[in-house]
Amino acid sequence: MMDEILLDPDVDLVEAQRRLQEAVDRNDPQSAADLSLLVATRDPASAHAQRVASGYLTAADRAQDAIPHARRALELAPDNREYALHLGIVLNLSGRFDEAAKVLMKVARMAPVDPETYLQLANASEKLGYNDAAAKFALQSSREEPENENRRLIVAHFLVRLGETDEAIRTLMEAGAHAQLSNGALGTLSALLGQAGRFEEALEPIDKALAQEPGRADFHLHRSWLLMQLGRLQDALGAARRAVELDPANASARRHAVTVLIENGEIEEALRHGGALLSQFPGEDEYVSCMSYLIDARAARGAAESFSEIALLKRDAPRRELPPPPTFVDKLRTQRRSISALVLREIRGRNGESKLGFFWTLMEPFIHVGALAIVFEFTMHGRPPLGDNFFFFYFTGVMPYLMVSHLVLHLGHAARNNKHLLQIAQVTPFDLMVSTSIVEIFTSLLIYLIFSGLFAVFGVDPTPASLPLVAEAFAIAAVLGVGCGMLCAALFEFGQLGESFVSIFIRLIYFASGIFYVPSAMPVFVRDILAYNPLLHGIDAMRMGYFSGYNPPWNDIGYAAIFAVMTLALGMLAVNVLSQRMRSIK
Amino acid sequence: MIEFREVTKYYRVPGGRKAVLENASFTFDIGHNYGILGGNGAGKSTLLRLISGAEPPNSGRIVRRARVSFPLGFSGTFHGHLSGRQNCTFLARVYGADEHAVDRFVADFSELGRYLDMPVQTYSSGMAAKLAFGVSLALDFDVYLVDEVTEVGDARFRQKCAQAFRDRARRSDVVMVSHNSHTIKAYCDRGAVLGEGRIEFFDSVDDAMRLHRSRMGSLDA
Repeated sequence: MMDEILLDPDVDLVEAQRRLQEAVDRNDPQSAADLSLLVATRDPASAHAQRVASGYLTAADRAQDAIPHARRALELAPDNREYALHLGIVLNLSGRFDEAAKVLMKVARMAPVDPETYLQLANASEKLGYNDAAAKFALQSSREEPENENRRLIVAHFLVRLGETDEAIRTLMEAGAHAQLSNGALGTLSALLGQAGRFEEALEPIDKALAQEPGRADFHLHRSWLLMQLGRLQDALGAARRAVELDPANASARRHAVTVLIENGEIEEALRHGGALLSQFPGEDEYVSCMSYLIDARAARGAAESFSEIALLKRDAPRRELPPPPTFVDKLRTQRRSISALVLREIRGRNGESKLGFFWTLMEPFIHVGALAIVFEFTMHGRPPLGDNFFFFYFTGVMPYLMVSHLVLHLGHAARNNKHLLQIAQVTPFDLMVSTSIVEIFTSLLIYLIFSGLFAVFGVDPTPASLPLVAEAFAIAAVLGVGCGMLCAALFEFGQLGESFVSIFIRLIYFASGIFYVPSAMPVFVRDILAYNPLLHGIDAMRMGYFSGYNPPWNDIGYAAIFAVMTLALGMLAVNVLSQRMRSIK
Repeated sequence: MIEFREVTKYYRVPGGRKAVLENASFTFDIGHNYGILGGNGAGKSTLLRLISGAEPPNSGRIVRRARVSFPLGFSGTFHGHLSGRQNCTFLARVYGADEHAVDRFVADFSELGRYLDMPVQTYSSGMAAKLAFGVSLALDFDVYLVDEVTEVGDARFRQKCAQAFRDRARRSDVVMVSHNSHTIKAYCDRGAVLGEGRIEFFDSVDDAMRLHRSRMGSLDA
């Protein structure tokens, strides 16, 4: 029936108008739009017909098609304010904000009071990116009609969108000054105040709204949120419970109730709500993590349950006296304690690695000396440079070298390998250095004694010609090793490069220290260079102590001693300067 | 009593440094349990390490008039090759406590049984934490530093730990850091909030929780 009349070119204008009225009465927007379009084409000179067509087209969501008719209507009646405003609205609706703004500006000049024009202008300006202008127009709109709450609400939402929450609040409050606000407006005002962090003020409108409409779950939820922000946890809990009771299907109310219940320590009840949320939305990440938090909280609570009166316990406890500040002697005592504890720990830990721990410590010099002795016994076909036993000769050279190199490497890594121990405030990097040195030096002494015993058993006399000289050489090697070790500990704080350098250097020193030869066997110019190596003098002194009659004129034990002591002083200084750096965990 | 005097501490992060404390002066009074709240990365653990003396401040001074524990439940000080018992003996020596008394207490408290004589490297992390907890209680510190309340053992063991703290509430204090407000509430009577290089103290845990909550956003329970 519809199609017929639309396709009939000779249809009567009056008939078309009648049909249009019918469609409007039927509440059939699509037919109304089509018929009004027909009327407009039949009656192109009537501004009214054009305006009517544009209106019904817009109502049928066909704002694009409406634009030409809205324009035509305005052309036919250029002074009609309503037509102009309508064109502006239609342009806004079809997204042609630029044109809309131009038309609307004209409208605004045409007649003074019209809030709708300003609202439309605000809309167009916002879309065009002029937020300041948009806010101004929106406010103007609400000022033109102060008692219209609905328009105020639209303006307020608009201002919030522009980020002007304070302006939005003011607009709604002004409306409240003119007339009693509706519940919806009160709710919005409270929400905005809450958003702005004005929790105390926000309570008043929501309380008013709830007084009129006590069954609104969303109002109770909002009120509970405000109360929680204010720290009134008990009241917040009451409001949250009411919200959930009124609207059991409201997930955000339940989620909020969980938060408030946790704050109130009501874990069991929170678990109930968490469970309800999960059964309502199984697998929802938010509720899963909420639930797992609750389960953890419940476990932690189990332990803390009887402990919650801690504040009372602390208050009732008798006043305690401060311990006196530690004296210098106390500090020394602490340091001695921690060093001795570290020494015992080191000995146990090192040899606890396997039952053969100490056996391996012995094997290293044994293999070392043995290999040198066997190789040179065959290649040199005869007597060693000093004494008459190759094993004994190499023993006197290898032992000081091994002690120095062990000290250097172990001390160098002591701080880095024991970072966790340095978490104990009583244990300082210096303590670590001292305890490691003590263990190293005593291990060396022990090996000396064991080897001397072995030599005696196998018929080589291990008694030194001069025990004080041997002790002196041993001490020089020990001090030199500790000093270099501390310097390395400092150096190793600065990265890998130092470590690689030291491990190569320590092997080079092996060849430059007179371990498997006596320096007198070297050409003079080589010996003059080697003489800068303090360890060479130390090892030579060791041999002077063991072999009577060996007394090389170039040996300078004083140089070695001074060098060793200087190194130790420098090393101690470096470790103390870097003490804090060694502690920190990067 | 532990007093911070104009202490500044920062740690390096990629592209700059992050301040834990900036020229901060404050005091942990004797006779109170402090709960320190703070978001992730605020420097809670660093603050504990400053208090314990394990880490020095970049500037300023920290005065300790108390025997302060290492962070509780921290088992990193143990030597893997040594037995649990030997490790306890070591700590007893370092802190100058009676070795035998410590040994007895740990054997009774940690419930490790014959594992106490096995190398620590054979322990599960839960067992190591039990040992660490036991030995730090045995050493009888004035101030216990607790990081996040380590999950030690089952509910019954946690109950036991809480009871132990309750028993010594009259002679020992606790400084606890956590982002979990209700553990703090269970253990502490005073609160503080750490963040943005500053620390704010409150006479009640509730007040501290309020500030913490407003910083964290309300839904972060």
